[in-house]
Amino acid sequence: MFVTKHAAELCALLVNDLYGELPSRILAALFTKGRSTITQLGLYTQLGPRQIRNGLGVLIQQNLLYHHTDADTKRTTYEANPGACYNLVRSGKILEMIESQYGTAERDLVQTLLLLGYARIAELTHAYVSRAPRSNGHANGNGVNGADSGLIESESELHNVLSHLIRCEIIETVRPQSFRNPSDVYHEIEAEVTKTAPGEKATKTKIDQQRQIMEQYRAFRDQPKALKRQLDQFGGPVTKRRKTGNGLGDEDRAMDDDMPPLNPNVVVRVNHEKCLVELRSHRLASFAKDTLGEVTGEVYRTLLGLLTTDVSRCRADPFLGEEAIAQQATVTTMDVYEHLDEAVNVTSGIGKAPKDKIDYQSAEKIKTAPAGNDMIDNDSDEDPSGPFDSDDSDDMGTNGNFSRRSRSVSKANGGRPTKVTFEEAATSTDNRLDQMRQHLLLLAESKHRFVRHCGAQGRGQWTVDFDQVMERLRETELDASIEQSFGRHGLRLTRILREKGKLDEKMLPSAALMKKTDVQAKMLAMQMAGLVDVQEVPKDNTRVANRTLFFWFFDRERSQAQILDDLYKAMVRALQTLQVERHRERNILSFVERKDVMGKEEEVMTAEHYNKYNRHLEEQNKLLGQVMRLDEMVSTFREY
Amino acid sequence: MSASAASAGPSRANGSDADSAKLAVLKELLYDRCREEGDMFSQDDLLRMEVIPNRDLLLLARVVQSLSDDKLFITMREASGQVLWKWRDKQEAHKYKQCTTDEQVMVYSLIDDSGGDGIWTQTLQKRLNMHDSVLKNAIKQLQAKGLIAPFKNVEHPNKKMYIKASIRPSDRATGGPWYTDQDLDEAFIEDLQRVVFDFIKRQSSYHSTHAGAAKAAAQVPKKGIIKGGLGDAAKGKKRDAAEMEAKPVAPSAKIPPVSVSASSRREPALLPLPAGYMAYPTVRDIARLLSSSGITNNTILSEGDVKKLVDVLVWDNLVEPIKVAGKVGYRVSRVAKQSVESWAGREDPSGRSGGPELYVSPLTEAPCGRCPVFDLCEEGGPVGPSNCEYFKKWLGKEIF
Repeated sequence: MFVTKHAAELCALLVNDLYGELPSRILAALFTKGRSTITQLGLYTQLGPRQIRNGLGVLIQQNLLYHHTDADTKRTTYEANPGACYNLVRSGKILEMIESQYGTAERDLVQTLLLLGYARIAELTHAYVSRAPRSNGHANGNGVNGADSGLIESESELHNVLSHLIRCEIIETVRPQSFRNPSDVYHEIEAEVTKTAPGEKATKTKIDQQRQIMEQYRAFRDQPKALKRQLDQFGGPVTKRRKTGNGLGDEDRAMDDDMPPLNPNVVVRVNHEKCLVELRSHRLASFAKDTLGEVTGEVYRTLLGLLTTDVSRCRADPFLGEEAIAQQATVTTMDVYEHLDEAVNVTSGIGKAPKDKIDYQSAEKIKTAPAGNDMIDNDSDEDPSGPFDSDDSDDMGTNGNFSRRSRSVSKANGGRPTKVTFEEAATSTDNRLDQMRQHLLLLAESKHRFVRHCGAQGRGQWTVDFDQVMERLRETELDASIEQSFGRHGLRLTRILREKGKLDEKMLPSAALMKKTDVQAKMLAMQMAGLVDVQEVPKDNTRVANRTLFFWFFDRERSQAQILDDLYKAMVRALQTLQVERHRERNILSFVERKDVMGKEEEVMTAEHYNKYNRHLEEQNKLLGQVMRLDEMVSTFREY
Repeated sequence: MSASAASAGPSRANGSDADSAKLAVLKELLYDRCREEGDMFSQDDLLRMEVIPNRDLLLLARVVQSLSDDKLFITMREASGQVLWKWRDKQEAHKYKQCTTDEQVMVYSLIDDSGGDGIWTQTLQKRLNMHDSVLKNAIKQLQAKGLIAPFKNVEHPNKKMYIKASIRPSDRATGGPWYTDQDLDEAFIEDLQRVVFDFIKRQSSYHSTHAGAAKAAAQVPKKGIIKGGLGDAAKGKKRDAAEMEAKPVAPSAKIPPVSVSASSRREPALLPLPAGYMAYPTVRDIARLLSSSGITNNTILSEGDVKKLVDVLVWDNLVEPIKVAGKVGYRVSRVAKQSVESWAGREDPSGRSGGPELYVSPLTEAPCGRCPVFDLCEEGGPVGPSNCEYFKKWLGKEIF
């Protein structure tokens, strides 16, 4: 992660907010000075070694640092882990997601782990057992979560929840090496593999070496997942995601009972990468909901949930390259159908159109490879609508599994103006399935290419090209912020530049249907904001303005980096404003924190103060809510 | 031309009456053949027409020279140096006869050559190397005779330009239909965009009065909407929302009561059409709507012009192209969030109500995203979080 000034500021502020000033000061020093030893830190921060050790202790406990002790010199260096620091802001989101996807007990455990940073399983067991001594008797060994609270109440229950989360990769094991900077490890492996003993000739080929480096690095990266694999061997394939509050969850947990007890000395922590995958699915689903409607969004969410069970990270590791996600998971329509929430009314959300106005051939088109950049051009090789019947019979001939699907299609094509049979069987599963397929097709047809229809088995196979969809989402976010800062015309101009590349200044007004002077003013404003830039190409060596061509261009990467930094800054400002507000209301707040006041604020406080207190809480909600929304954007640009 | 004139001159002077009569016949013949045959001719082409007996080059030179003198032939030179001739309409040629002085002829021929794009007075002067007053005089006289007319070119609004009075300025010079009196007619474009947007929105979405409507049989609401759309547009740009809504409601009344009662909680909303829908409006459909509705008054919009208009809407993120069954149609973006009201014909100054609903970025919703002094903002600086006016306003604390 590239750390800008504002990102560092934000991380220090978050740490300050949660863990106090001391760790925050050390962290800020680490951000500005880079990797340091304790003595160096003492110089930078003007703190004594004792304090520094205390501060570092807190930071390490919260996984906010990388540290490494050199084997030869025995010197330990510390380095800030900006990604982990930033993740602090997401704690709430992660908990909310865990609660809705996995259940209350899981949420409780993750919350504890987030609070502790990392913990030994034995410690966790101790904490949970001692926390709920009263319910120990009845829930022990039962495993079924009978209490109303849904919280963990016994050791075996804890272990079940824990192993479930480990197998879902939400929780990973911590080893000493987990605290090393991955790029360090990579370079170390690289040096190790490529180094040759004196006098020895470099015999291995480059490719061979590269493969070896990859293997070793992958081994390092997959270390935290060792326990998951171990558990998987015992428990068969990963159980499907459980839903809150229905019976499925208990079955799962009962099945987990056969697990061997977890080694109490294993240290675990929350795996943010996997959490981000889940959050990304959430974001994409709401994106789909925003573009196509609520029901379609729900179908998409289900599809994403199924697709991402085995996806452990949003983006391929830069060191491992693209190969990590080369084999793409697909799901079938039937799978999605089985996991779709019963409450989702798939019949709504799509308009009706007369059958003769629907081209099933293009709607059902199967794309085996990710589409290129331009949808329209990409499709142009296809011949325009041929007779449907012959096409369907072709399909049936080539693929046995296909026949069922094509039959239903040809029935729809059969020239019946209204499908009477369909309506009568409104409750039948087949109908619901077809309706749901319509949503999937709609998703596939969208210009954002939410899903790709990649096969015909199981009534259609679907996959998601995350890179492309995320690029579209980023584009949408970028467009929105341009639109709101520079108006429709600004957006129009940048989109023209994005589509056509570098463009002569003279071409812009006619393409955008705008006045020349307006275009110039808009472009200038956007140049000031760093969104667009101009390249001057002199026609001859006199370099006078009227003998020079001016080419405008839009630098996507730079704009995204710029907007990301603006986001950090906006987050910092929102948090700082909250601090200012807290300082302003410090009298009331310190009063509220008193033990005898907590819980009965309304009775104890005067009306005036109570109103002030409430207003402050509202402001706090507003500010923190805003920070969360900004974080959503940051994740979109940076992680997803 | 000048070289041939020099050689042809004496021969014509010595020619007898019979000779000149023969010449006139040959001229007529050659001219007519040229008009039949095509556009441009080289010397060989002219010889091949077999108008000139014995392929007499000297005779051909005389004939061509004579035609050139009568302005019936235009002499041109290719880049390779080859000389070509083009014929000119007799009526046009006659106009040259109206030019009384050589200066007028020279000026007129330049203006004639420039065609629909017109020519700048400065260019005239540079080419002709005339004295300013002579040129002005010639122009004035030509103008008085109704041969040339002054006009303004949108690409160079400050230049004084002239064009032949008999032809219309080219699209490049007038800027096409988007210009009125050499100014980009932004209000016209904006209103047209709204009409087009409304049209695309109506044609590319399903108007559902409630969620239950989707359960209804495959109705044919499209036809009704198309008719309604055209009818509305024909009345002018002002269409009120009630009228709009009335149309789609009619077919949904046929819904069986069972499905209505199932879930009739939702507000009227737009729904996406099923995948593979083929009747998304194309540029041609939109062009047809615009021409049949008559909202463009006396301006004629070609399909290319409409395409430009739609392209702009695409760039504005308001509509998106979609290719189904080999043809490109357009549909509205973010269909689920668009309002059912129409955008066109609204008078409110913000121009937003009923307009397209765009995705709002969280960044620009908070004070920082819109802050004019965002770059200066720093704790301890002249502007900072501790004294931020915008945050105060945003938090609703203007009292402080």
